[in-house]
Amino acid sequence: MKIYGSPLSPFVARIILACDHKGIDHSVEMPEGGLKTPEYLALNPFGKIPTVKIGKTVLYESGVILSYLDDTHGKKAIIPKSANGAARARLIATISELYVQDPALQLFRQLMGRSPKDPAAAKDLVAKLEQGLDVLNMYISPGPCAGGKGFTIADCYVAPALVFVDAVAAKFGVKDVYKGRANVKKYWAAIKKHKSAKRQIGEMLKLMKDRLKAM
Amino acid sequence: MKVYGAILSPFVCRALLALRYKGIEHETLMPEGGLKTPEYLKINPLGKIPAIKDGALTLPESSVIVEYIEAKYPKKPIIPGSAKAAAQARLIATVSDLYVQGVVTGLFGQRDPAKRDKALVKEKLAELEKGLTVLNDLLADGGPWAMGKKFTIADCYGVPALFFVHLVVPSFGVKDPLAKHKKVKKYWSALKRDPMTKVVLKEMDVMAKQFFGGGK
Repeated sequence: MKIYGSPLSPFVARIILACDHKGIDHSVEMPEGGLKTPEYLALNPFGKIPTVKIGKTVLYESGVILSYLDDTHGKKAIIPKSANGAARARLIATISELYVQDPALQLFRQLMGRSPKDPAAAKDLVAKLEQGLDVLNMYISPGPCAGGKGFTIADCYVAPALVFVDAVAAKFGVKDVYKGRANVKKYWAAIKKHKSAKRQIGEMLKLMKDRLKAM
Repeated sequence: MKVYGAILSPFVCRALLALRYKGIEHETLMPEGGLKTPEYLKINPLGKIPAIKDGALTLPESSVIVEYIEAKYPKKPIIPGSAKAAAQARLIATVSDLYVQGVVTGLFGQRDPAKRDKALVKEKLAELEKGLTVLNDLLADGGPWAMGKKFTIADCYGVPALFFVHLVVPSFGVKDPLAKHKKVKKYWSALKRDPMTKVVLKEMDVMAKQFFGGGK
């Protein structure tokens, strides 16, 4: 399976984590010539990453791809079989995406100079991020995985998001972002060592370190 | 099942469509005292709608709720059985969410010409054109539903997204926002005719007139 994208993109990382967990052979590469070439837009009309190619099947949008992978590779399922278990895993994933990763990514863009520095907006984003982490802390398990025992779709979303939380929090004045958020803190320590996540999260942390150094 | 929220919210509408299609008994109510009471924050710590209460389970977030309804009440499925068709249905849902409804939400506050950020409106209208173009490509050829003969999760997202397109976009001088998107236009006509979605659209319209003094 071919994954178009960069391993540091949290959206791409979701797919890589699912592949690592399920043992699906995959390669990760950026589309040649960038995201807006006619060739790439023919695969993904929005010109975003990730896009995957599995045989003749082309899919985009990370949430769609993850459900497809679970449907076609039933072994080591990432969506729990019980309705309640699945709902919990999806809820943790959604909270992480909308209320943790989204403000963290917007702060990251300011940090990288990709969007204009705006201290007032940054203050709002930090407040949003802190609120999102509070809610995440209410639902997440302290480990070994986000939903409890087994690796699920929740881990595909939360672990990459926390790479970005780590990168931005201190730069925007939050000294200890996990203070008072013991579940998230314990989870973060545990997932970095989990056999399905450690390779990809390790690579992201290394890429992030290089990125911050090059600033 | 209890559904907290009102049908005019596109997020709530998704859950209500799934429930009505499947014929699952439910009660729709706004949380007493608003969204930020300690009681409601216990049900949904984000203080948003929708949230559901099904037996002992409380659950926020429309996308999670719709998937839960499907997993818990599998009769009259809204997610196709084949992996490929399921991916297509979820993709149409996602495109409706992020690239149609999400963009229209960004235009909502710009309806008053006196307070309008013209550059932003231009940018958002172009984004919406892109979203509708992709949606048009993804919709099934024959209709009447997004995926063809059967109602699916794609329609749970498509119905409220297109309602808001028609509620908001004409404020910017665009008479027929679907003019260039033949399949979407045909789909919208079918939604206005279907006995279930017709009623849903009517209910949304009545509430929109109450709240915003407009609607279609």
